[in-house]
Amino acid sequence: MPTHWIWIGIAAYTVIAGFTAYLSRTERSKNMSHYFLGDRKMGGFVSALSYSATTYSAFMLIGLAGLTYSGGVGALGFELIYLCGVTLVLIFGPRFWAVGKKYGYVTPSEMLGHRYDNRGVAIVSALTSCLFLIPYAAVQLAGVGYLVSGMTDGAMSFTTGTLIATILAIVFAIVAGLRSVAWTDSLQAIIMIVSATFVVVLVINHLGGLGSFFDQLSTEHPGTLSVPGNGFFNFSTFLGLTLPWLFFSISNPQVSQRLYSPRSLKQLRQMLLGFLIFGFIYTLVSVLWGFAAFMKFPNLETGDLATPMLLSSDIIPPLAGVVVMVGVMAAAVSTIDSIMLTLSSMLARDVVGGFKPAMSERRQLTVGKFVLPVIALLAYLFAQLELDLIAVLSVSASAGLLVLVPPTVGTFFWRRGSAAGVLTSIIGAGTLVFILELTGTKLLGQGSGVWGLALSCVLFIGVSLLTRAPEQRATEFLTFSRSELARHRCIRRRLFCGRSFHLAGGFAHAQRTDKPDY
Amino acid sequence: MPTLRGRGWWLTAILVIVIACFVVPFTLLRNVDAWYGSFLFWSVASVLVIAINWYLSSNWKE
Repeated sequence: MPTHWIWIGIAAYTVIAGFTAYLSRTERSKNMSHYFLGDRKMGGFVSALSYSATTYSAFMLIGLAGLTYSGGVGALGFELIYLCGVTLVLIFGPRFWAVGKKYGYVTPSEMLGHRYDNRGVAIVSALTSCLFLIPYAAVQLAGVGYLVSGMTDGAMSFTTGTLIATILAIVFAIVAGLRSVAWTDSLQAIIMIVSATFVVVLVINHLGGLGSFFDQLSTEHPGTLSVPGNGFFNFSTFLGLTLPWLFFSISNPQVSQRLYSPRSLKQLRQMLLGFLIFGFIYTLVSVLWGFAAFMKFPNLETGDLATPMLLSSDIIPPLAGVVVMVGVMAAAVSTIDSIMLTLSSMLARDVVGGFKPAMSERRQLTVGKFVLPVIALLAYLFAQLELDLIAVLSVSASAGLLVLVPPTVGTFFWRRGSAAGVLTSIIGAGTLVFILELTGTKLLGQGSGVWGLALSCVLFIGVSLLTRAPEQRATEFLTFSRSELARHRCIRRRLFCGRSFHLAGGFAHAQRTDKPDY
Repeated sequence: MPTLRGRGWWLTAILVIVIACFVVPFTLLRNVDAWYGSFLFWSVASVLVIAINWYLSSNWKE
């Protein structure tokens, strides 16, 4: 595809998204929750699109399509099981939202630190998130690099693609914090899904329509519509890939932080359902995309090349190809800016704020804005390493964050959980995942996420039983979260509501925005 | 509007569907190499889970 088409597409996208970011500006942010959580007043529709754009990245049309290309229908199962896992928002969403309002949490690690009454817990969980999420952001950048260099036959370099994505992510995040990220995300989500759906319909029609498309897959490429199919998706690989994504909605802070931002539970519901519908459509489109690439170009060296090859082929008009390329770029940028925003809030609030408890909100905000481009630079440098299969690396990063799942579950469901248990599980299991990934080891044929989660569970429970839990904090926290939940679940049952509200001590109206005490 | 007891059953149903998503395609549908095999199974399972999410969150109000 001619390079000037790509430049025109990128320029148009930059102008429109930049203008959207500019329009999202309100008054100058004076505190952390205003900048990083949109003042906890985000609407459901924008939240749903933003949550979708944050979750679905360059991975979908490059990595997932590549996995479909390499392994067949197993890729659909892997991604749809993830979607089913978002049901965890049904359980944890209202809890995060209620305690976030009550205690003024800005980050999930801040919540862990406060609940387990230990500043070290917040610091360690924030640093663990950085350790695993910066590589995750880097693979998104690499995705853009592969895409533009693949589509232009190298006329536009990998480095140019990653550099453009990095600069756009910084700009979108820094203009107005979560507000600019959410609004540009919404725009980008619409570009992503509309462009990909339009082109996939075009390609399937070119290949003879949906019926003929599946018939050809079954007859000409046996094994693509079943698992383990060609052997790529054996059960161990399937489990190792799926498990980290199953818990994604509570293990990855860039999405779990979004549970604090909706204006009400009604908006949270719109966010959840909107995301599920978006995710279902986008997953089907990405998998069909991978199948189409496989039918058209069955002998590519790697699955990551499937999308660039399909986009630059003669069956897609140049303009449509550029629009989809912009859609993939938008998907990557919208994920990176959210990760940058979340990590900078964690570093400012939990790490710097953890070592300097007297630091004011305004000062924390300044630190957060300073850290943001530094994180982007780190991700950019990591992307330059050009590591091999983007999908596997992306999942490895999620596997590392799985170690945060047992302490997060314990936050709401286990009174006996202790700070020592949390610290041991995060450090011990996080180190194990890091070593397994670094050495490429698969113990008993299972991926690092499986072992990381298992060890984290054992250490969290075992060490917590041997050490002292913060009883007073746990009682106060759990009483509040349970009674608040009961109050919202039984709005029509006035008698029970009254009792619940009494138990909660009227906490619902005692919203705090200052930092919680440890 | 779901009751507290009913809510538990629906959540259990989701758990069963997710487990089935791991087991059924690798066993019962292992040799069904067509669109009405694993492709359809995973798609229908996801639609069911979305529908249960819709129902269980129906009492989330302002």
